[in-house]
Amino acid sequence: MIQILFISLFIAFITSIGKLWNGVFVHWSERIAASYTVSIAIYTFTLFVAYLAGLPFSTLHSILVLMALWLITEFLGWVINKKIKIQETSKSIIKSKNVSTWERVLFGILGIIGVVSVVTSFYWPVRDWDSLVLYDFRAKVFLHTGGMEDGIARGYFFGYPLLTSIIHTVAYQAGFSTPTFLHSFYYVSLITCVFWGLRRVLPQSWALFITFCIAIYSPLVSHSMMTYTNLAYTTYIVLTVLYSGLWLKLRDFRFGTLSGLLLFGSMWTRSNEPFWLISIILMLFVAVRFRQWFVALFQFLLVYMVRALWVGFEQDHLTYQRSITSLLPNYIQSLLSVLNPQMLIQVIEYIWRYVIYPTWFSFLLAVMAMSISWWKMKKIEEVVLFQSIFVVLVIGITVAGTLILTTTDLKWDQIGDSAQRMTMFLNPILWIILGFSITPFLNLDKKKHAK
Amino acid sequence: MVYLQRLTKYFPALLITVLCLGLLVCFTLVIETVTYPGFMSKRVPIYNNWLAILIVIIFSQAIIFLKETYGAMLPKWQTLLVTISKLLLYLSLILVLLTAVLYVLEDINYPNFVFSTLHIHHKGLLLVSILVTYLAFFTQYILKNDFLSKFPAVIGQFIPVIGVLILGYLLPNTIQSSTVLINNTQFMIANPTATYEQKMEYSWGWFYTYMQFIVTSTPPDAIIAIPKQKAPWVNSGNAGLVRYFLYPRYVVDPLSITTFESTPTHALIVRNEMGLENTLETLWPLVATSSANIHVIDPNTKETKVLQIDEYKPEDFVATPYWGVITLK
Repeated sequence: MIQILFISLFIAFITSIGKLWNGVFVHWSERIAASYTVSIAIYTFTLFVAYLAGLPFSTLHSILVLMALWLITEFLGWVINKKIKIQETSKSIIKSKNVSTWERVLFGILGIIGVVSVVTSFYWPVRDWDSLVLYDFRAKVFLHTGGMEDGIARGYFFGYPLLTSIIHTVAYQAGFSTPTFLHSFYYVSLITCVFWGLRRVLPQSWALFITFCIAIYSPLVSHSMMTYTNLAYTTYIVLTVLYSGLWLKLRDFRFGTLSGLLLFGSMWTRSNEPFWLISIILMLFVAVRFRQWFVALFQFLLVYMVRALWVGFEQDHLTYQRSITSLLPNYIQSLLSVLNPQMLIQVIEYIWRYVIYPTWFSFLLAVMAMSISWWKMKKIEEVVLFQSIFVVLVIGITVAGTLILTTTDLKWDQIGDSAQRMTMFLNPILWIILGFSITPFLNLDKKKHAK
Repeated sequence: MVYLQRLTKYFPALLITVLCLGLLVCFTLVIETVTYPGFMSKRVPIYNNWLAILIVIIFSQAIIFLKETYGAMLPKWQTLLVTISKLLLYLSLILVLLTAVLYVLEDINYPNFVFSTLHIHHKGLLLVSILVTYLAFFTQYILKNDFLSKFPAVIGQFIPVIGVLILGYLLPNTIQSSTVLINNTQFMIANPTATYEQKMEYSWGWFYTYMQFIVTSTPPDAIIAIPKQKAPWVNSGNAGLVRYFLYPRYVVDPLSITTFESTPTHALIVRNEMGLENTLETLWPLVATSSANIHVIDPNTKETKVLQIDEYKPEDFVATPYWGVITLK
């Protein structure tokens, strides 16, 4: 009974979230997929805020908060759709012929991967190291005690925000024996949104092929059946970059608000890596350029809220600093102390081996596409430039961050797997860059999607 | 530019040169595949696999550029070229399939399985597949293959390169993803109604069984001492991992990551987890300890019993197979 109630309320909530972007999503599957990711972020953060306000974690409270969120979102959706004239300018896709045989094959393979991932994730309990040590352990504590204090008293508790732990808690409260399926849904959402995102700028065959190349990326497939934070983080970051790119291309402010919420989701999943800094700076640049001040304010407030509340909460319980502004002088000092050629070469070799080499085919393809575009068409799409700057800055920050790490951790070069997981989002983004890069070559005739 | 235009006269010769060069590099790659990586560079100082492939690709792309820009004519031995191209296509298909099989064998067995049993470096074979596929695409492009002609002219001449890059990406990822999916479904298909305990035992083996034993042998408010995390106590010394299985019991370790500082009520008895020989150095605790009783479990038979002894002495336990937990006095 409880399970049915949770599922019904969550579906209702996802549906209301989707209505906030009426006229934006191309297909109902994209609406559900994007709404799922946004809903999880909003719901888990609200539960955290409610906890800070004195409401302990319990099944009843989880249901009440979900109900409240649904009703608020329904009301917001009614206001937005009634009062604001929605133009369906962003809801067009590139005209394509009927589905060919090889497209059917690719759709079939994608379907098989998705189904196998989801089915196995309903079967397997949480069994992965990092999740047992932290993410699911915190869920266990929340479930058992209704609060965080017991977990905090037992040591290793902080370092990662609570999205994963809280959604695990809710899954257990709803009567599920395992929360692993929630991570599988992130994988399905990522692939679905990427496909429809690319369909706005590419014919079906190209969009499908690029989506397939992203979907078959083995770390993504592995993580779809694991309960780590990396896949959720990858989903949020990739979709942030994708929808920001569409915002830049189509100038529809609603993509800006959606990107803002997805960035918020990424920061609520993992906050150690300062990649959010790059995203918010680039997004604010776009908002200011289009004079969409509301969007700029909305994005800034979201970022500020998650940093202020989560980092503030950590700070109250830790003896060391967590805030970037407080740590910045130390970071700069550390960086300057190790800026010598020998260390730089070591770090670059490390980054090459664990971050770039695993995706070097994608890097090369993206660079080739951009080079051909520059050589033949004498231009690079603005969106491509925007997304490429993001990738370059991510690599730059990773190098700088690793240099700083060499001053605090003697075993910095033994956690290559961690660096690889942390930058798992680079491969999908590179394929998206490739997709956007080839649009000038295809002489596309854009037709509106009939609805 | 005039000079380049004059080169079109030698187009057939250039084509033969690049094909011979490509086949030569293939041959060297095959040698490295059946001997060891670095075999060629030991004998030819400047040799590097990727550099060799790159040279072939650059040379081939230059020929494509020459053809597209200056309209070089196909050679008189076009029929032979068609045959060569078809052979390369079939060879490419065989090599790609063979590489896929070897990658799967490597993934489902253990690292270095393929080399130790078949004496073939599967990653070397991937390079051979990439180069042969590239040569196949290249010759097909020169012959104006119908499929390749469908691509926009701007990117058409780069299709051979793009094609092999995509192959180099798709092949390993498809195999690794398939292996992951298979590994996750094998046990599930064989044991669709497995319990949580059975699934965790499959995933964590003896360590999970031991943790469950501790749960049944200690009260929920126990404070349990564990060893420092170092070989051979990789799992049992990890406070974060142990606390998950023993919650709500408290876990304390010598280099505690917890701030909890009460006196332990229990202490684990753990042995090596890494298949090392059982010695005093691989047994923990390392020192004698007063005990009220000791619960033990035999990892071979899973039999448990309670030993009513006053003092735990490591030298008494080293010869036994027992793991356990000491109720401290």
